[in-house]
Amino acid sequence: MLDQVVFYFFAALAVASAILVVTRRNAVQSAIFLVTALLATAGIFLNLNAEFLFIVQVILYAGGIMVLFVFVIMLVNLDVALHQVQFNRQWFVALIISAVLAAQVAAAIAVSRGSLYTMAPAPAEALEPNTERVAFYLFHTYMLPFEIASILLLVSMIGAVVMAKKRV
Amino acid sequence: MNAIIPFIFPILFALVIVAVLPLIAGYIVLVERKVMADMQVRLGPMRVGPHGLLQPIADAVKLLLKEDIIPESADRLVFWGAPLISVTAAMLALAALPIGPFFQIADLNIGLLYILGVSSLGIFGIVLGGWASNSHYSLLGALRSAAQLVSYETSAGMAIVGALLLAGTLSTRGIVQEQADTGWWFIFVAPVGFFIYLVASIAETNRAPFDMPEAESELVAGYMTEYSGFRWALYFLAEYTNMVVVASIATTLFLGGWLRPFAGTPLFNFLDYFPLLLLLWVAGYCFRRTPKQPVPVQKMFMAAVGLLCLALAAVLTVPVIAPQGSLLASAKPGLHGAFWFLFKVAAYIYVFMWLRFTFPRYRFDQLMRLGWQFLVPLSIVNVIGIALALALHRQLGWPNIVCFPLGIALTLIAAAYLLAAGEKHEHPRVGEEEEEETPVHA
Amino acid sequence: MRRLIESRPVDHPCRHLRDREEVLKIFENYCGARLTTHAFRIGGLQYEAYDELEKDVERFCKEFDKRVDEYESLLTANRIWVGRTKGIGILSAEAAIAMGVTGPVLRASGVEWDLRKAAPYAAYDQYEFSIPTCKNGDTYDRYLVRLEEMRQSRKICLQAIENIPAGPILGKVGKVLKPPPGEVYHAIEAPKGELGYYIVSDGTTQPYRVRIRPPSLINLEALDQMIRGHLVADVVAVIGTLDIVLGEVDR
Repeated sequence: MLDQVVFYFFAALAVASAILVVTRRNAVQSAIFLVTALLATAGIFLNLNAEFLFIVQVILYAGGIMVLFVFVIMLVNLDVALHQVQFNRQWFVALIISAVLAAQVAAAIAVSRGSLYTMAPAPAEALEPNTERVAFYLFHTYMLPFEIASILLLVSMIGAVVMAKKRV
Repeated sequence: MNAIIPFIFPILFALVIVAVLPLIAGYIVLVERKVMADMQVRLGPMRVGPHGLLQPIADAVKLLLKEDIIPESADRLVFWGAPLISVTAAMLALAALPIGPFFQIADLNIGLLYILGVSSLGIFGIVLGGWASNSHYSLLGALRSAAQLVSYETSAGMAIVGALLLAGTLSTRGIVQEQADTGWWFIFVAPVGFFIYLVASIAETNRAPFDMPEAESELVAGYMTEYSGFRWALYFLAEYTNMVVVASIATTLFLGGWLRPFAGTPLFNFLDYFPLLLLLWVAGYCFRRTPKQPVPVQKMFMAAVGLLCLALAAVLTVPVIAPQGSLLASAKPGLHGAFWFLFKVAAYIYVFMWLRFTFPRYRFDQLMRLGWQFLVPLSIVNVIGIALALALHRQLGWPNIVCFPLGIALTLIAAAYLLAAGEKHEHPRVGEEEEEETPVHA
Repeated sequence: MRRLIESRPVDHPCRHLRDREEVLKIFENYCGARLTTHAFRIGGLQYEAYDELEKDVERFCKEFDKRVDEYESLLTANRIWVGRTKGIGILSAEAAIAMGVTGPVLRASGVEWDLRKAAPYAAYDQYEFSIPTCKNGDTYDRYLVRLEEMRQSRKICLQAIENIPAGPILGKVGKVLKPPPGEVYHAIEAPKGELGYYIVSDGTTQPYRVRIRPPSLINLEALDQMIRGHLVADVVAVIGTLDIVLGEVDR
């Protein structure tokens, strides 16, 4: 019962924030509502006892990527964007396309309702702590992909630094 | 509703913390002003209340009654929300910190990661506050502050990883438990890690000598320039709550959390009387000052403070004296744990203040250079050193007394090298030819 | 000496204000005013020295020595201080002389020029003191020069207080002054630099022209040369070491 209350709260928050993201004129406000949507999603993760995913979502997505977004938005001149004429002529076509997409998703859910495997969230005591499990898989089973991914990140960091450096 | 019962205590603790924290932050400001005055050989606030003790209340009332000025072209929603984000992020971090063995809102098994994550949400409050004020100085100050925070978060995080390696668990209670089990506080096992965390935490909270973004002589007040009255009070509250959070993290990770010094050894049980002595001393000071107050109301207030200290002393000593196994004695770990935790946090914050009033400010580029070129490499080497020591101990079976000094020595060598390399870069020999004129740039 | 104590670059926490307080207390005991003493009159002094003046000054000077050592230990080798002041705001000796800069700023640039030695006035030729100079002319050198000048001032104070001759404090000067027509320029070595007065008299009781040479204003002119190529944050430090009194600059 508490689970459902928490879920609906976070889900409503996420949907509302997502709607606000696309409807605000002001880019910074959009960014803020995107952060709220991400945090609401993190809340849903926590509700499902996936605590590592929750905190990684907060740290990386909300605390890292969105901070970068907000920096960029602030450093770009926004007055131009605020007063631009908006592209709203094709709203009828957009409505039709979203209706078709919604119908497809609804049909998919209706058809596969019986075969979707849902389970009740496991009680926290029954699960091993998430972090240890993730670490086990990352450093034991998937060690090589992990190392390759970290080298890839290193290369991209060095590339960014080299490209942004002033010519001496 | 059986589902609600496990939530009663955490909600209660949360309410207590949220209610008490602004008062505590206000009194930390008073303590800071008194410490600053003491180091500058003057008295500090003395007028409001006896010995200036009611100064924070006067400040709070003033700030609440001040006119709420919002710049005309400011973005109202963001202007309103930015201080709230700062305060919320700062207070949320307190949820995972153990103030004693029994005073913790939530013992998450990702406790440490949670604190790191929520602290990084505080950056939003600063950046958005600077942007919403619609003024160059605020935006510049906000971006500088955010850049500083992000830079020092890296090295702070790595220092925390060092302690994490030693503890083997992310849960804050587990970390203190590990320090209790091994008998060594982690500051003795990883002193360089503690030092890195100390420096990084000073930069994280925008305190001197890293307070260039808020220095008055540089950018007025940085991102806080356009905020007045209660909104500014919220930012201030966020900053001092951050200080408490950072001190609590350092205490939990490195200084043994709620453990008494020499917790395991019965030989040092006389240290259990330390709270009694401390509070008796404070009470004695209050009673001595009572007759010297000019106004009767102040006399009564001072005497009341003294009595409060005596009451606290009694509350803290009764569990020690009560016979073993009785109900009163079972309150000892909780109460004394809370006392020792708060004492260590207070000591850490005192060191913050001490450093603030001793050192001049770092210039911003020197600050960033220190963060990236000294602290980040040093914290990486620190992690390597600790990991090496642990591996030597666990895999090769070498005794602890050999492994950890080895790790510490490795880190110190790296620190010496980094310092020397930094000096060579930063101080070119004076007396060389002057370079040609270049335009002044900010 | 009080002025020397006051002239600290902005970032330093105010521990030195303690000594400034004690000097001001001595002034207050002497004439009732802390800053605006008005003790000097044409022909001598307005107030007689009070009984404990000698003792107070000697006590202060004895403690001051230790205090200057304390300030030196706090700052001179401090990484942050050195990082913010070394190499900042360099003023070469030729540039200093060309701009007419005087005082500790000039001496830090390498020019050994002090009016107390070059053209002694008052009783300065009877006292034994040295003039600190430095080579590079950056902010750090100006700090070192001022620190050493504090020590030398203390020396002068001790010698002065021991050798006060007996006699009246004010010479015989009429109530109304009527100097002969002509012009005169006399300068003293003030803590900020060369403070000079140029007076033209036409024989009446009112001066025809009086012009004060403001050391702060003239030193400030050199700011442009000193800060080119540095960051905005350094401007604060440089203005601090120039030690200007804005009332003098902004008349």
